[in-house]
Amino acid sequence: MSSLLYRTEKGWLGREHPLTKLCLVLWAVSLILIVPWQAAAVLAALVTALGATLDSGISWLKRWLLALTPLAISLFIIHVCFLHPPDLLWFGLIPVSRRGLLESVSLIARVAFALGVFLLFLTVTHPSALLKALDAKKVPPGLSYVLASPLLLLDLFAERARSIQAAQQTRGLSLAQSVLSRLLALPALLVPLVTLGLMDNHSRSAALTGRAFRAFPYRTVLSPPPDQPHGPILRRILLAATVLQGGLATWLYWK
Amino acid sequence: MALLEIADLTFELAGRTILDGITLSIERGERVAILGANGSGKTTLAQWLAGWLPNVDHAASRGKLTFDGREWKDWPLPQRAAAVQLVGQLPVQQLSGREFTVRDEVAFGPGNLGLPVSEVSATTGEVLELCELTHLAGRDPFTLSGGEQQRTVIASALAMKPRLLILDEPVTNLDPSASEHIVRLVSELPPDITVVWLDTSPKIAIEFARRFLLLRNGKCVVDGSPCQVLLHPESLATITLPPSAQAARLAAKAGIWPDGLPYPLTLQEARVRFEQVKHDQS
Repeated sequence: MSSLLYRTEKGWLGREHPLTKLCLVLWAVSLILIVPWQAAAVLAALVTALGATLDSGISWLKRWLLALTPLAISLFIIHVCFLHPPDLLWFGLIPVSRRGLLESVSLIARVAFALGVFLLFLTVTHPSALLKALDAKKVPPGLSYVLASPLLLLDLFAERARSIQAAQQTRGLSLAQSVLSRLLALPALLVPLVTLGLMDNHSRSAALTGRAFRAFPYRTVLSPPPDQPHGPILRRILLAATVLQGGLATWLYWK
Repeated sequence: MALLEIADLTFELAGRTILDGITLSIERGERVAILGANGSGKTTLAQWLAGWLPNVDHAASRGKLTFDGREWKDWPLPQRAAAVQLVGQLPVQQLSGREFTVRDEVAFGPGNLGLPVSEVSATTGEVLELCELTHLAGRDPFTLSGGEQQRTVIASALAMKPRLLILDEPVTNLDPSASEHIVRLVSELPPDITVVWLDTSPKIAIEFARRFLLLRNGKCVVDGSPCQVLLHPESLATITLPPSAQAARLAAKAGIWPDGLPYPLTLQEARVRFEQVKHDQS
């Protein structure tokens, strides 16, 4: 099974140029840092609605909830019960803080929004389209390699980890006992995995050099994703807004 | 001038001599098979031939290798990549890890050379067809079978339009059908591509190689025609002979193979010589 989150999307989000979507993500994340909590909550609701209307909306919602729920619970407990002195009793039993409650809601709304936006980006943008877009804009090939290779090699690495686990269990390594015995078994699983990974890297690096990778600061791309007429201007506006919003967020933080 | 010349190449790694005074030259368009047992130095020699060695960490203790009259260190990377390609035995280690389809994987090398889109596209199409990969062009290379991956790696190498193609035990991990596919592909390569095939057995190279070399403990001990090399006592002690020669050898041990009659190396030779032996005995 592929580790990619991408699903085919026929709507406008799917058709938009990958770099425009990336700029939208940066703008949205910098925006959430400066808006009040009420606006953050509205934005989180909007991104949820947008995600739910994707062609793969159900799967998007499931992933979003799976990622958000543990984060939200942790943030809520820490802020409401521990970070601030309690000034209210819930059900006459649990001491909580009103300020903590407000802060946790504010944080959860911002995290929900940012997480939703990233997940939207990953769901509607195939990494290969992003790579081709970066290559077509003459971004150094090494940078795009850092983006793509973990996605492609993750499945290979996971499959190898499973093979090593099976091989070591055949040799008598037990993983079905206590947590301690599992911890003690870790080196027997990790050492071969890391060693093989390093060997692979050495060979792959030689193979990449053999095929002239990074011989030039740019490369030719077959079928780069088509750009919309408004794309270049929209990206410039979004990037400028991101810089402004980022600056404002920094100023508000240090004020 | 020969395409590739090696003069007294000696290479040591961690105090051990891997290549010991190798001297040989390879002409343009030659089909050469270098045979040797495991640990004989084949992979290291392949890396020298392909210019992967020397590198910043490793250099020759003695001797040198030149391609078209120049040492590899004097070749700029793009020119070297367009001159020579090496295909190893583990295809998964040679996929770029950057491209999501077979088509893009094959186009990766020409794309790195910054060639025009039309040229990259045409070369990729031609090579995909040559390697019978057109129907897999949209697949993720990491999800292919071993044989298909190895064909993808060979296609990626051919897309660079190399003058020298080095194949280091390319079918070791493949089943007979996938191996046969690779052999057919290599046999049908254009005659201007020089091919060096390194292996532990002559079984496959005998199909297309006209010159054989035997490597033993990092030394080139025999160099000549298939018959001269494969039936040399050093080879008989080191490598597995083709099945037809093995059968003749067993017949010789049983006393039914005439002295002086060379062992057959190919199916055609086997048919003629076994008929001859049968005729002589009847």
